[in-house]
This record gives sequence, C-alpha cells and structure tokens, in this order.
Amino acid sequence: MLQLENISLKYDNFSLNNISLNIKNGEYFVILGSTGSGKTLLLESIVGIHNIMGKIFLHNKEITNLPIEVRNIGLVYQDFMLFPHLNVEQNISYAAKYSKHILKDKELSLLLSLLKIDHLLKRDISLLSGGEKQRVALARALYAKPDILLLDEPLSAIDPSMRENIMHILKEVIKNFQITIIHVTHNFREAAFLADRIAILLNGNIVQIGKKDEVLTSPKTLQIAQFLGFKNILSGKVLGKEGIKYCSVNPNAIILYKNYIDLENVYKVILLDVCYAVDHYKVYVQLLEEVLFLKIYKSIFDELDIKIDDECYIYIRKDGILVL
Amino acid sequence: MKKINLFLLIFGFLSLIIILFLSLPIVKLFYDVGFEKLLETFQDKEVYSSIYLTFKVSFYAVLFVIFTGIPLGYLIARYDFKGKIILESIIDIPVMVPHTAAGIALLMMFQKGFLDINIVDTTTGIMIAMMFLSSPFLINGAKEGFRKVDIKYEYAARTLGANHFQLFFSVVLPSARNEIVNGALMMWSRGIGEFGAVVIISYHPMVAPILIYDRFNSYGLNYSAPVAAMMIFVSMIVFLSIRSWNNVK
Repeated sequence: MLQLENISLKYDNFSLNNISLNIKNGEYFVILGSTGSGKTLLLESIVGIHNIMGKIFLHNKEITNLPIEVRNIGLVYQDFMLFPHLNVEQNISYAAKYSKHILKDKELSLLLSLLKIDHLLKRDISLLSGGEKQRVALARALYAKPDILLLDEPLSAIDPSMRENIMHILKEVIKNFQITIIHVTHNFREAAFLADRIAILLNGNIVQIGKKDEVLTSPKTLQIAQFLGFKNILSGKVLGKEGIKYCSVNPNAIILYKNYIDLENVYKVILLDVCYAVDHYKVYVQLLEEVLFLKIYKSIFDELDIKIDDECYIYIRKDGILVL
Repeated sequence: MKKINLFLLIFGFLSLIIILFLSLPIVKLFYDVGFEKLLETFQDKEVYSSIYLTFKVSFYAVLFVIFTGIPLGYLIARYDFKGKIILESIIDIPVMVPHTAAGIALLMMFQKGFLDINIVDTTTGIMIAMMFLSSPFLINGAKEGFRKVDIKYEYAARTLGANHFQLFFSVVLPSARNEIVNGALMMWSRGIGEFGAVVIISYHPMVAPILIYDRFNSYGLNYSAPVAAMMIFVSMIVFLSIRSWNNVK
C-alpha cells in the first residue's frame, strides 16, 4: 500500500539514510526510536513537508513530488496542533471546507462516540484536557478519510493514567474504520500493545523490521538490544567462532542462592547492592568483571539472609540467555 | 496584619510616576478647555473636516499596508533568505529618521512626478507621508504575530486538504490576529499624529496636527488647545473601541 524506496534526507546536522519500508493495507505499523532518531522527520517526509531523495508510492502511484494537500495522508502531531481559534466541532470539520472526500454523517457520529468526544463539540480548545485534545486531533484527521494516518508520538503528551484508556480507544477505532496507521514512538509498551509490525529507527537508519514479538524479544544487534532496554549484556567468545559476541541475560532468569548448588550454569558472585522496588528487590551482583542485575521477591531475599559484600551463588536458566 | 509586599510597593510607586507623567498633561488639557468649549469646537467645520481627513487618510494608508505589508511580514517570519537582516533594517529606517528628513526624501522622490503621482498639497501626498513613517508598526506587528504561529499548524491544515492560500486565511491570519490588529492600530495612530513629513509635503488640505500647529502659530494657545483636546478625545474613543474588540477572544 505505502512503499518507501531508499528515502534519504539531510536536515541540519542530521540525516535519514536509505529508508525502505512496505506498509500493508490495514496494518498498524510502529516505528520505535529514541529521541532524535529521526522519527518525526521520517513522518514529515512521508507527508511531503521535506524534499527527499528516493521515492514514495501510495497504492502503487508515485506521490514523491505531490503537494501535501493532495496526498491524502493524515498526520496527528505529538502536540496535536488543534487550531486555537476554532472550537472542537470546527476543528474536526475543518477538512469539509476543502474536500468532498470526508466521512458521512453516520460515520462521523460513530467516530465521535468511539472517541467519546460527542459531548465536547461546542467546547473551546483551550478548555480541553490532554486526552481530549488527543482524541479531537484523531477525529479531525480521520474525518478527512486519509488513505494512511501518521501518528507522531500521539500518547506522549497524555497523563500516564489515561494512556491505556486511549490505546484501547485507538484499537476500537482501527477495528471499525480499518485504517492503515504508522505510529512513531519511543515507548515499548505502546508498540507492544498496538503494533502488527515494528521497525526500529536509530540515528536515521532502520536497523530492524519484523513482527512485534520477533523485534521486541530478539534484537538483531547489541545496539538494538541496548535501545530496547535489555539488561545484563555480557561480552565474550563463543567456542569455535571468531570475534567477540554479546548475550543478554534476563534478570528474571537469574536465581540467587546463599550456598553452592550442583547444577549447570551456577556461578560464584559477590553481592554489591540491593534496591527496594515496590514488591521486589533489584539485586546487583559481581560476576568476575561484570555486574549482573536480577529481580527477587522481598520475602525470598529476606529468608536468604545475604549481606552486602557476601559471597553467594547465582543460577542462570538457559532460556534466559539471548545471544545477540 | 497583612504583610506589606515591598517589591510591589516599590514597583507600584515607580509605575505611578510614569502613569502620572503620561496622563496629567491630557487631564489638564481637558480641564482647561472645558466641556462647553469642546462642544463648540466640535461644531467648527474646519476642525471636524480636518479630524475626519486625518483619520480617513491614515486609514487608507493602513489599508494599503495591510495588502502589502502583511505578505512581507509573513515572508520574513517564515523564510530564511540572503539579505533578510538588511531587509528588516530597511523596514525599520522610517522609525529612526527625523520625520522632516523623511518628508524631504519623499518630496525629492515624487516632486518630478514619479509614477505620475503628485504629492504636493494633495491627500495622496499626506497618505504617502503617513504610510512611509508608520508602516513599520504594522509590518513588524504582523511579523511577530506570524512568528508565534507554529508552522506545524500549517502542515496540519495542509494534510486536511487546504492549500497555502486557504490555510493562510483560515489558520495563520486568525491566529496572528491580535498582533496584526495591534500593529494596524499603532500604524493608524502614528499616521494620525504625523506632522513633520506632512508639513513639508502637504500643508493643505490641513490634517489635524497641522491645524493645531497653524492655530497655535496664528492665534495662540487658547485657540489651538480645544482642537488638540478634540483630536485626543476622538482618538481615545476610536482606539479604546478597537482595542476592546480585539481583546474579546
């Protein structure tokens, strides 16, 4: 449906490099990337704000050089960009002034009730909460019936307690309107909840694309693993193989013992630090030159009676080791 | 006992000095002229024709700059180009030069019928003088207004189908309305008060500042003061009304 072919762009001191993507019809595609990785720049390039190298196709028709207003690609900004001089209803119906390709009245009513904003129509934009603004911005973009909707960090300006609610609403809207979405974010939870497929964007490069489970659980490189927040990344040599390899050990797959037990993958360590975290402890141990982090229930740790600088043992479950 | 805020007390006192400095001469003028004399002046045909001419011509000057200066303000606010700083300095020149010098410059430019425009002793001349000296207020007001409108509003409007012209009128202009109206008001008031350049280019027909000067020179303070009071009174009514309208949403 949407194809990006080798999109490149230089912008100030930053560049997007040879980005190629294929977004399928009806797909929810999430681009995960840290701040400054080029996520917004990529969305703005797709919309047509920047002059790019490469080609963009929508429904097999090249749109690379088309003006923004005829591409029929919707965009919801992180800060919503609701027109401050118009009320909610006027914002939502803005597209009606310039296009006949808009939602029918019945569809609009459904959209407004799904987004739970039908009671806000006459309200001034300045009187809306972050969550309400976000839903109005979504309604405004969807009212113009875009072929594809681009969401730029749509949940980051919303109170964390409201995010889950909005994510559920978003899923409901997608189900009813069967819209294709590209959503950029740095939030793994949003990506895991909403995405069909995920691409990781780092420093202007797409470094991994795949189904969400595959990307979130099997990062291809050390850099991606670090970005995805994988813990206990260790370097070493694999027998019979050249060069340094990396692996990540899941903190939940490390079990702490006071005394030695006769199992495979048991190592002597020194307890470095213990941090309290609601219902469990975060425990840091020294294994040779590396520091490992593991999680342990408070009651279990208390029973073990291990003090800082004590020698103790860890057992690492094999299924908790991921070779990068 | 309520604690006295020393900061507010000092700042309030200093502000009061400048408020009194600005308002007392006006109050004294109205007090000395008196209501009856003011009413009498209002019935003087020469006075009200002159005030009407002043307001009208200054308004035409504002209209002309609305059509030309607002696009210029937008271009400066939105785009970076070579010579932008020089252009901004050129716009500010009229604010810096003595008004009589500006009048001389305009006279030299137009005295030989440049663009077939006769500016000596014509309303066109008055308008050109007013426009030359007061347009920076509107252009700069518009520029600052446009700078405050996030360009992402424009992108959002374009994704909803509006082209550049449409989004300019439906999103950008309304969002910068306050600054533009204030700029226009400043330009209008500056035009109304213009004396130095107008007196060189067009003594007749007499605009209000020249009429005040003329009566002062010919008949003295007692004859010019009511005209001055009348002019200030009408200006205050007009500007207060427009400011109030502009501040409502």
